[in-house]
Amino acid sequence: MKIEKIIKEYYSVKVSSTGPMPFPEAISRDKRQYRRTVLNESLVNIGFHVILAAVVIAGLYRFNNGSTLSVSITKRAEEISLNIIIDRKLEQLNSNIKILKNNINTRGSL
Amino acid sequence: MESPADKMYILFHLSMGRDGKLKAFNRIWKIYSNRITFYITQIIPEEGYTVEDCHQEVMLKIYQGLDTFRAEYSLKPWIYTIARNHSLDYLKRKRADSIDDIDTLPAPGGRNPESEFISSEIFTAFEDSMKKLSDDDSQIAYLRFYEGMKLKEIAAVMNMNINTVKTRITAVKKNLQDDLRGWI
Repeated sequence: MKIEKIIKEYYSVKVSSTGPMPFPEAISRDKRQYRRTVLNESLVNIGFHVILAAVVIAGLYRFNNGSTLSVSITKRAEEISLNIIIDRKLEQLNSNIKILKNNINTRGSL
Repeated sequence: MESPADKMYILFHLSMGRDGKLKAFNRIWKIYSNRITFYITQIIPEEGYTVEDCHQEVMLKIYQGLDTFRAEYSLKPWIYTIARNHSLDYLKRKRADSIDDIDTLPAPGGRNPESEFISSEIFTAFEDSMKKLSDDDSQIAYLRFYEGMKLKEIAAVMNMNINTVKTRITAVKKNLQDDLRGWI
């Protein structure tokens, strides 16, 4: 047997017979702390995405209900045009009343 | 054993941030934990010093040092340089402290009864012969014959001239061959 082979075998035996060492406490703590940080970050991320999704869904809902908006705009437009018509009618009535009053006054004086 | 795939795995995960760093370290831990334990026992004396403490510190240094690990580095010499430098620092620190304050934990080194090689006479003779080696020679032999590192890499880890490493390897082989004459 070659000497190099014996040396290698000797060291293999010695290395494999060393007992397992405990994982360094500082690194375990670091690991746990890191996991906590990751968990917190994940929760914040999830929360943010939930809010974002809610906003998008609400937007989509409103978008889908676009007809409601157009109906309300139409209603408002109709109301405005009705108001204009009513105003005109009122003006006409006022002027007619004035004419009638003038006619009555003129007949009275005669 | 380390393979180019392991280095690729480690480099890939190191580029993935902190979570990746932990994954890269876990791979190193899986491959090197026992090997580093044994390497430490080649540097620090078995009695009066805690191999476990030193191992923890070395692994922590490796974890912290992963931020500076680059693709052009060879993983093995990089790890063993940290292990050697830190173990020597650890030894220096502990020698400065009072020996009474140090918890004694013998270095792990139990034998595997299933191995025929261990129970063989050649193993016993070989172990006796290995014990005669100086700390440096035993580290050089380990890095060369077990880890299969290049002379240049060993010289870098041991902070030695490449010719010194070469001479020492030749001397180690000769000594072992002399001691094991009759078996090999």
